[in-house]
Amino acid sequence: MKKTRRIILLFALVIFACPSFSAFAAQKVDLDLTKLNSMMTYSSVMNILMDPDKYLGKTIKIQGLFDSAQDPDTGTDYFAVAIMDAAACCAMGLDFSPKKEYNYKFPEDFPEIGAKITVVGRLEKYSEGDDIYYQLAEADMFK
Amino acid sequence: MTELLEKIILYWQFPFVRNAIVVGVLISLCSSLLGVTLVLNRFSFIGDGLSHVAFGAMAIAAVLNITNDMPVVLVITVFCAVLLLRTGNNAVIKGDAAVAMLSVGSLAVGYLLMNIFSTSSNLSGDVCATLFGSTSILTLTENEVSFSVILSLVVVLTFVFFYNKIFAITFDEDFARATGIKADVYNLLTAVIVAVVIVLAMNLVGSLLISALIIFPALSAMRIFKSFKSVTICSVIISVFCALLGMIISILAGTPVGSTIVAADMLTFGAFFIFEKFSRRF
Repeated sequence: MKKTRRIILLFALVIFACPSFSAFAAQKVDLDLTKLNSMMTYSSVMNILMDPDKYLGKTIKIQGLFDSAQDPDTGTDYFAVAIMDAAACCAMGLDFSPKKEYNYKFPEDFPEIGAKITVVGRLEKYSEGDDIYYQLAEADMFK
Repeated sequence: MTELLEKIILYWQFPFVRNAIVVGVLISLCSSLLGVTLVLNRFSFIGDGLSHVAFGAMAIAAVLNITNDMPVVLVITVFCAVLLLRTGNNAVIKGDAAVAMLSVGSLAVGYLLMNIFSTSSNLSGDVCATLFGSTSILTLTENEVSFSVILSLVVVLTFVFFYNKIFAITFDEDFARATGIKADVYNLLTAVIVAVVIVLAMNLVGSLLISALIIFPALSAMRIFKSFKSVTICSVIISVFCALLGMIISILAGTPVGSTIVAADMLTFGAFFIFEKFSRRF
């Protein structure tokens, strides 16, 4: 009985410590970049950014360093996963927005800038003014 | 071994890897064809000088916000190549001094322009990618791939078509002139082809390492073979083999593409050098 209770407690801890864990496992990934080395990941991200329309609607899983920036005019926070190339002289970032249902607050629910994260999200197009941007929308973030 | 094979199969599924292999093989083939002529004519450093000109041209294209910079870089590099080889003996500044002047001048102007006018947030990254290739070969657009394939075919066909004339001029320009060959025209043609190869090779190894791609295969082949034809064929085989090996290693191990290819070329040269020494003894 004691053992069963301990297993249930452990399971609950895993689920609640990582709020996106169950959803993270459930998402069907079209392009898994976490299996690639740094240079291949960098090249893949570069190729995505060069022709993003080709990848629209695809669910992408990517591992990199967490980064964030705030628009001083609107106060909107933007989040990105940064990828370095093999020589570590070039960096490339892919924006993401976490699922709204998680109701994450910045900075308390996010990792520190530069921390390693894995993000799974669908590549979508959005516009701000006249500019068009691409991001991994409805993303699950795995710290 | 199975893990390595799985990795190769996984990476092969990416279209940009397949494009890189095709373009890389074609570039190495073109550069090695010209390498023999350039080394024998003591023009090895023209490749280096023109690659720096190409860097300057790339900086101009970046400043002007030209997305497809290859045609711009090609025109400027071809112009400088013609300028270098056409001025000949009548020039005020001759030979290696002219190459050196153009080389460092272009490098300096290119970096200066990138610093002053660049809109990029990652200037050091851009410079690093242009000088050392970085991942350029893995991030080619469809247009760049088509352009590279067409230019490579033009280079190979030109070399094959004018093989006899290039051979004659390479070994004895005066004799070639005496037999009615228009040496100036063919030297000009060589200069244009060198410029084309350099613009193509910038994507593979970056502007600082291009000379290695031109020189090493030819020098390796010369260790063992003595006739122009056999040296050229061997040089092509070595260059394509080293480019393929370098690209596969760098893709699998995550090392920079350009320097891995050049390292493979250097090791092959070392092996051929040792083989030559041993074969002379026995």
